[in-house]
Amino acid sequence: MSGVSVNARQQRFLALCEPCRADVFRFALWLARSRTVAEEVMQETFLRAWKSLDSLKDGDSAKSWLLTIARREHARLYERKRHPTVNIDELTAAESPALAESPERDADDLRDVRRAILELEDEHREALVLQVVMGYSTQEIAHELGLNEGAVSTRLFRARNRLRARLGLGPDESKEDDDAAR
Amino acid sequence: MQHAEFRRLFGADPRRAEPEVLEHRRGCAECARYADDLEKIDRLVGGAFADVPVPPAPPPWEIEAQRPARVRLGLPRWNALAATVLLTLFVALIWTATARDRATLIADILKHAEKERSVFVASSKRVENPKIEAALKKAGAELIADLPVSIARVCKVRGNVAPHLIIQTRDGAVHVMVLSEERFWRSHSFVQDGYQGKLVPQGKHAFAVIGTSEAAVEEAAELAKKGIDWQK
Repeated sequence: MSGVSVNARQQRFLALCEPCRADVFRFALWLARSRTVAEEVMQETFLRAWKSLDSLKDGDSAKSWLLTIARREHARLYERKRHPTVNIDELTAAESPALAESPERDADDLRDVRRAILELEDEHREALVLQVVMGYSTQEIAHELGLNEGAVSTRLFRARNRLRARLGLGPDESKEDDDAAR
Repeated sequence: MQHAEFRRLFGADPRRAEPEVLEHRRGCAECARYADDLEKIDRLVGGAFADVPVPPAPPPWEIEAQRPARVRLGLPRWNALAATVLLTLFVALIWTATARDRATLIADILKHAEKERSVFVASSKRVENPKIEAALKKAGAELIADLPVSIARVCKVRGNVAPHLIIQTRDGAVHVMVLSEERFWRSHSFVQDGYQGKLVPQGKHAFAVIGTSEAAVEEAAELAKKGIDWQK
């Protein structure tokens, strides 16, 4: 590979992938619930993306491509290292920098919201972050997670209702749905 | 629209803006409150980690350059294991086939030596070089140094021309069969049927050396290696 082509490749990577770095990190943080693991997932994601940059044909889909890699890297990391399950009760400000980064103004409220989010089941949290934070449509989430749209809608409905109950805003109306399913 | 249907649709995606969804929200205070709750939840979720600082990281090509190269075949673990098993099996098969082939060769040359037992005697008689050269030439070999040969014949081993010499050593007579069609990676000594023997590689060819003492066999093997070679 010539110096010129490597440089051009680096430039392409910087143009397509670097703008997504914050989204990838936050997505990894949502998935991993640990800043340390999220940093590792982000690093491995960008490394893998760099190695397979030539497979990214459409520059507009760089973010989606990176998030897909991040999901796989997160799964791979868990499979390889078998990280211990995070005990939410132990995620104090001192132990979890992710929770400790709150601005002073409404730190308590923010901490409650984060705790409620992190307490969600993985499948609910993942669908919710893709829709609310990453702006994916139901169809796009279904494609990303390999589910049908109905299953995605159910996960999102349950995720919001669980949060509603945990934040004390109202009852969890998806419980009737769960009970009916049993 | 029913309340449950509205809540299900809105709960799955608060951005829904179909006319019947908006109309239901306007006409039902309880569902409107539910919708407000969910919109608030989305705002909270959207902002929950928005201010988490993103750690700086070196570009991936620098990380790649710093990491030690992994010794990987690029195969999944199970494929690598299967490949190892197959390779081991292959090597074992080759080894078994080689050992079996060598055993049949030894049996053949011992049988031939037994048949030529009458010339396997210590003797001061020496065959002249032209006769030795003529015998060796039949197998594409040549004499490159004098040898104490008492008998030089052209025989056949396993169907191939094999010049057969009786070399006289300090410890007695030794059969040396010149095997142009046999090839070994290394020497192989054996003791069988009252004979001491050795298969000796010489380039892409070999000698079979058979005597009754190890010293005689070793001496004859050395003489053969120094005195006989194959034409290039």
